[in-house]
Amino acid sequence: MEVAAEWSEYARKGRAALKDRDLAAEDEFAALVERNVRRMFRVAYSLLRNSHDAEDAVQEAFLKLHRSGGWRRMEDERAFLARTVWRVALNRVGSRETEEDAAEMEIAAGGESPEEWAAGGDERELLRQMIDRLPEELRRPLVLSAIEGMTSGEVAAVMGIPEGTVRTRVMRAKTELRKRFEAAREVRR
Amino acid sequence: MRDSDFGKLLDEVLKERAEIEPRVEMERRILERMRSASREPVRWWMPAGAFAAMVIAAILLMNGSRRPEPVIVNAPRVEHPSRHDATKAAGVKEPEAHAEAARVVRHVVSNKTHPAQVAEERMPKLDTFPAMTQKGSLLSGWQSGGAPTTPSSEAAAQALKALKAEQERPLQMDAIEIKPL
Repeated sequence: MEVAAEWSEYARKGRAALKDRDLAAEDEFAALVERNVRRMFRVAYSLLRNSHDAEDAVQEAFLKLHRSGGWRRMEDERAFLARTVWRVALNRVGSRETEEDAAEMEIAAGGESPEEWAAGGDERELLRQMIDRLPEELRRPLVLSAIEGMTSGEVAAVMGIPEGTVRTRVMRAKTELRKRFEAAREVRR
Repeated sequence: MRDSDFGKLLDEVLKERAEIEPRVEMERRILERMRSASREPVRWWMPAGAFAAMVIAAILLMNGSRRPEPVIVNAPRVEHPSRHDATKAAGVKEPEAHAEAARVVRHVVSNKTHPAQVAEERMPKLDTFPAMTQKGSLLSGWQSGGAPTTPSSEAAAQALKALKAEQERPLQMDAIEIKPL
């Protein structure tokens, strides 16, 4: 009888320890979500350009991390999470991406006249529209590098391209925007 | 507009977009989803089903790639026709070992790709070198221009005579007839 009682006591302690460990892990994961959710949302939004889609992508990324347990083995938390959510968002863009790219390239090549752009509103709005109309290969590094705390190295790691390429593309994006912006202003005058 | 002004405007617009805020209580929604997902029962049948499908596919593939075994049909043993007939005509009895060597066993190999493939077995190895037959010795004597050296058999002498007469007989050719179309 004594042995049985002792054994049940051990089992009860074991279950309690496991429960405590699970609770501790859950708390740890909740803290991780709290720390990174905004940044991950912004990364996803820079690609998807839609709040609902971006939130879904963030949820999916966290769910994957939680299931795989990969969050316990992270070395660089920020970079790892940004890369994860970027990949999830890329999957969501999926096949639609190529079609959008083609359409945007068309617009960038002169699908819409500067008069139409210029008539749209103030300079900020005009610039916003111009950013959206940039080809994806220029737009993505530009908007990612504008996210607070994202260095060109981190952008490169997220996108999976060399850091030098990121810098070149950001420069090209700015030059292109400047050119188009000046052309639109000329028309307005 | 100066470069610096444009740069400032662009930075402001980009910052404005980059600082977009998620909907309120997004963290809570994410954590609730985690909890509900962890409470879901484990779908044990999914990996089991995948494993079973793999096994079935492997079995089907193995059966599909295996070639059918060729069915070997042993035909009855047939003696070599030319040598046998010549020996019979000459009335000469061949040595037993030589006669055995002349036999050929033919195997008919049945296969889907080569239905009428016939393989001949190699001649059996003889223990002693076969001696020249009587007919052979007669022929060798005639070839050298002389009379048969050992006309021990009447039948052999007659066969030789018939052969000589056949050679000396002039050729007879039928006239060529061309039938009208």
